[in-house]
Amino acid sequence: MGLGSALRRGGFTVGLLLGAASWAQDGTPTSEGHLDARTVAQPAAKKDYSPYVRRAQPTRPYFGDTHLHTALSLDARAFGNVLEPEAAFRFARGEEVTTSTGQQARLSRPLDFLVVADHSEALGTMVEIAKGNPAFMKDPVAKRWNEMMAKGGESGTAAAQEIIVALSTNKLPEVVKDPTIARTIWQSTNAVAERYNEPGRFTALLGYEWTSNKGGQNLHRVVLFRDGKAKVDQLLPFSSLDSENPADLWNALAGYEQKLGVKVLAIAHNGNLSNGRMFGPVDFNGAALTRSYAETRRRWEPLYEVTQIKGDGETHKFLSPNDEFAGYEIWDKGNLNLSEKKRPEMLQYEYAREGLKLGLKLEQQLGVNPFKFGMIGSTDSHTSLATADEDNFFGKHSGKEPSPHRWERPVATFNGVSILGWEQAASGYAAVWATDNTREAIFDAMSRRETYATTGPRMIVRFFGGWSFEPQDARSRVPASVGYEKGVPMGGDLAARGQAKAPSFLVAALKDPQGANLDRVQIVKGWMDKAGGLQEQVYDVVWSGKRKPGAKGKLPAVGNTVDLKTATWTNSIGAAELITVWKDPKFDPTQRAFYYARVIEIPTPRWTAYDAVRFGVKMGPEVPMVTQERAYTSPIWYTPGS
Amino acid sequence: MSRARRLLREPLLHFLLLGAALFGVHRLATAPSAEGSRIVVSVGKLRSLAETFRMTWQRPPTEAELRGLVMDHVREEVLVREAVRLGLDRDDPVVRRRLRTRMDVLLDDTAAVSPPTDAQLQAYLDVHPGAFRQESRTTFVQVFLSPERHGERLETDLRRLQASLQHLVPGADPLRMGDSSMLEGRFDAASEREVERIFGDAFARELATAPVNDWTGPVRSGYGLHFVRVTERVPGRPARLEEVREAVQREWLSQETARAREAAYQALLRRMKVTVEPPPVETADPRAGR
Repeated sequence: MGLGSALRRGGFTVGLLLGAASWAQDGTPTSEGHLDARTVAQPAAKKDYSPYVRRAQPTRPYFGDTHLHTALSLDARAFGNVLEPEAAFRFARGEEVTTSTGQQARLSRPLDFLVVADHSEALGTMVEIAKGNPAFMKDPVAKRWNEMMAKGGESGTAAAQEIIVALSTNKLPEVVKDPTIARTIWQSTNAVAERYNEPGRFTALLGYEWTSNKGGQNLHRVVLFRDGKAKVDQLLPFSSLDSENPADLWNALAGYEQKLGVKVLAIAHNGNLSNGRMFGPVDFNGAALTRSYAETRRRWEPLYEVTQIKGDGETHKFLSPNDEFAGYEIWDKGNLNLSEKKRPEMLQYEYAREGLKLGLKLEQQLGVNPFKFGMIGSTDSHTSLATADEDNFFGKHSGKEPSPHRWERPVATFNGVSILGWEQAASGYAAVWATDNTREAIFDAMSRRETYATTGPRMIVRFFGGWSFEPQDARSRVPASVGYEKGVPMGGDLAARGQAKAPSFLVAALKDPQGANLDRVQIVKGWMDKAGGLQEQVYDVVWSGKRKPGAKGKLPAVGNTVDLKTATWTNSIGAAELITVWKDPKFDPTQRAFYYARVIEIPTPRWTAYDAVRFGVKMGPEVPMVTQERAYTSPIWYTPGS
Repeated sequence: MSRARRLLREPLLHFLLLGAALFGVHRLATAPSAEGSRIVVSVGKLRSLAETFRMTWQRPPTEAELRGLVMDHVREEVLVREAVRLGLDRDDPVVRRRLRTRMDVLLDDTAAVSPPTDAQLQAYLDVHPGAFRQESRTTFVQVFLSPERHGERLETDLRRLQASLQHLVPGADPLRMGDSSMLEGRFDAASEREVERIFGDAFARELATAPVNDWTGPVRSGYGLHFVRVTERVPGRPARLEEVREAVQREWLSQETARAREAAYQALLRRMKVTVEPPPVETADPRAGR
């Protein structure tokens, strides 16, 4: 099988590549320095003989956060965040900042891009309420929030929760909805982004979050623009106070494009808190999906934010019982404000993998796949600090910045149900295969879904699909060059099949240069069978060490070097790089399918383990202390007859 | 409607008359005493009370309602003044937090900074050359060896690879040697930041001092071992203002705003005499605060 340890075969082959042909034959070096063409991996035939000429394809991924809140978001300010966008940009660029709780914070290394995506609802007004702006203090509710925020601490958290409830029940005070304030704040935020946007070095994309929350069902979308301040200033962020129906948001985005000539896209997140609405088979009003719905959604939503602090959304154990890595950092108590408990039948419409599967079925019914999305991660942090590293995690909101008790205190309490601090996931970032670090290049890569999600580590992941990849392509000197030559990158559609019997995939992963080694790379296949049933299968395709799959085809665990006394691990297990070519062993050309890669790191300390050591606290047995971080690529789709 | 009648319906007149009446009441009710015990309900205040009422109820108040509003305002004023006289505002955390926030806002407003001149920007650049430094750029090739793939043969294979690289025959391509990897082999004018981002900081430091046109190594990175050959290095240099004006202006504004805010605070602080008594209790180890 092409699986096996490609690594070991790789080790043998690279021995040949060391530069001496005959040495490869019997281990005796003879004419060192000569290269024998037969033993050197040949690049695929292409226009330029040299495989190293400047390529138009992206050569490195850019890492960023598309979803960060500052004090200008009404709930963030109420939770105690006093840092406005300037601090957010400085922090993302790698500078040290003083947090809202007076701590010094810095990223291990700069991010490449950032979207400050504050809630468009009542944008910036909470700062005015906190300041006690007299125009707002006439409203008794705003006045009470002002007093609660003035008390700070738990009282501020209570204010934030009231605000989330007021938003989801459409009971925000009128004064808070004043659009003139929103316009001023929007334009001044764009001005700050403009100052920190340095093409080639750091990109500040303009954007906001539309916070549809009807009945507490999370249908939030981050909206982001390709254009700069000059154009984007002219529009006013669409808010859920205008409408909670995603179709109306898409309509507004179309309006932006037509009137102002801007390019814009939307990224949904937290289907896990939507109680079955995110990838549901009906629209916002409960009507069956139509072709027009599918076309519109697909037009505006090329990506889905699959992992973030409020839980990971790849898949759930209930949906993927045979996937031993399913159920990562799950939040499944209820909807966003816990006003409705989770029932198992909701889960199938909440998770990305299941959404991708349902998309295949809808495509057959409607002619268009509404859920044809790629994957990214982001933080959704409300602290102005885009942290997703386990050893440097500053929490969901300012009340959850590092402290000895943050693990046991609630992140939020609604209707008597609490999500506790330890349940937060220190996740994630968006990786984008852009040709350059600019607004235009990053946006364009997002539009073609050439992206992947990571739960924090900055591993480099390549994934190509085609009909003619051969095992030796994995030993190419420039795998990406072969990848683009013979296939399509992540996010794409397999080309017409021709005479090939089954698709093959070139997948490669390189560890985070400062992070943990890799355990394995898997390919997740989803398809629709002849009876219309939706199926999935996870394949281990390349892994570290000399492990052999057991009786049931399960690969043994990689091991665990985590020392919880010191919150450390070693890279004595795992591999720095994994690469292979995999061919689908059960391909049926009549069935719709998608494939995406999942890269798993070796076990490392979870953020709770760092808290336990640094604060000297003992946490309960329910608190996970070890994690296996991961990356999810955008899928590659196969459509019969295309 | 006659002018006189219109005048009679003019709310302001009502307020003035009412104010006069109340003022009379007030004079009767309070014995003359020191300043500070005088409460004046001004025309402006009357207008604002009536306007708040109107915004809530969508109509102006009746005379009786206005009288009620005024009496309530007076009551609040009397109680607040007494509370302040008793010092109740001093130990109430809500009042203090609120006052502090409002002062922060006031100080921010006074801290607004006017746009910098070129001379100011140049001065800032001269003091902070490191922050705007044009990074050195290195053109190099790297040949990679993965320790995990070579195991026990690693030492031998490293030596062989090094020897092969140092005696390359003309036309041989070092990029075809070593282990294959996703890492690029050739880098053109890569900045320090770029190198650090891809290979990590230890590798970047070694590359910075590697000799030009000679093989160096093995250099360790997070991935494994590399032999490196630098073909060109353009050293870093301090930037000229015209190259980095926007960034300097951004940093200057950020610094000056913070400085003005702090100066406003320091000015207030100077008007106070602060005495801190020695701590009466044992304090924690400084590490506990981290």
